[in-house]
Amino acid sequence: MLDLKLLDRDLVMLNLEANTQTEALEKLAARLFEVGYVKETYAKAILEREKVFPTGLPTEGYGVAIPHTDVEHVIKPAIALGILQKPVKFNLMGDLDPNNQVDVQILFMLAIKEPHMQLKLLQDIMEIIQDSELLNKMVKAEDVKTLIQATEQYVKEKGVA
Amino acid sequence: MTKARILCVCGTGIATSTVVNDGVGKMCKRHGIDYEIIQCKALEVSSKLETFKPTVIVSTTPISCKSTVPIISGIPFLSGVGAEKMEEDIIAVLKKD
Repeated sequence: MLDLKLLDRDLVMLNLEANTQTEALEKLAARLFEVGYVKETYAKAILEREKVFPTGLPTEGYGVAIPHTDVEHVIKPAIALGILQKPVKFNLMGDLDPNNQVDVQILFMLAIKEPHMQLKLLQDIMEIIQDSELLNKMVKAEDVKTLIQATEQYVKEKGVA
Repeated sequence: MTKARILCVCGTGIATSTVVNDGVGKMCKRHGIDYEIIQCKALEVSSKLETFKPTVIVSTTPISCKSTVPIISGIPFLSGVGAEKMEEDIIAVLKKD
C-alpha cells in the first residue's frame, strides 16, 4: 500500500504560485523545512542537484518532476506535493540537452532517508505518474482533502501500490 | 554464460536507481539470467567500472565517462514509455555475454 502517512497534509501545496523552476523548488523545500522534515541545507542541495541531474518526466497528461537529493539533508522521510498554478520548465531526466524541457505542473519533492525501505514508495509514485486520470484529479482538486481522497481512492482501487 | 553484472546509476544513487535496480532484477529472474546487481551515483561510475566490472550499465542520468560497457537508459522503468524496447536491449546485452 502507498504509505499515505508520508504524504502529510501540511506538505501538500495547491495553487502554488511560481514563475520559475527555482521558485517552485524553493517554496516546496521551505515547507518541508518549516514542518521539520529536512535540514536547512536541503533547499540548496535540491536546487544544485536539479541543475546537474534534472528530474522532469513527461507523462501523457501533465509534466511531473521528482526533485530529491542526498540523505544527509533529510531528518525524516516525506513527500511534499506541489500543484502549480501554471507550469514551469524543467529539464528532462537523463537528458543533458538544455533544449529538451518539459512543462511541469506537478512536483513530488522527495525527502529520502533509507532508499531500500522506500523502494515501494518510489514505485508507487512511478505508478501514480503513469495514471493520467489520477494526475488530472490531483491538478483539478480544489482543496487538500479532495486531493488526498482521490489518492486514497486510487490506492484502494488499484491495491497499488 | 557467466554471471551478469549490472550497475544501476542515478544522480544520487538512492532514488531512481533503486527503482531501476528492482526492475532489472525482476527482469533477469523472468529471463532466467543469473545476475549480480549494485547501484551507485553518477559520480561513482568510473570507480565502479574498475571494481565491479559491470556487463551493462542501466542509468537514469547521462554518463560522461569513457567506457566500452554498454549504457542503457533506465528511464522507461519510471515513465513506462519504451519499456519493452528497453527490456529487449538489456536482455540482448546480457545474453550476449
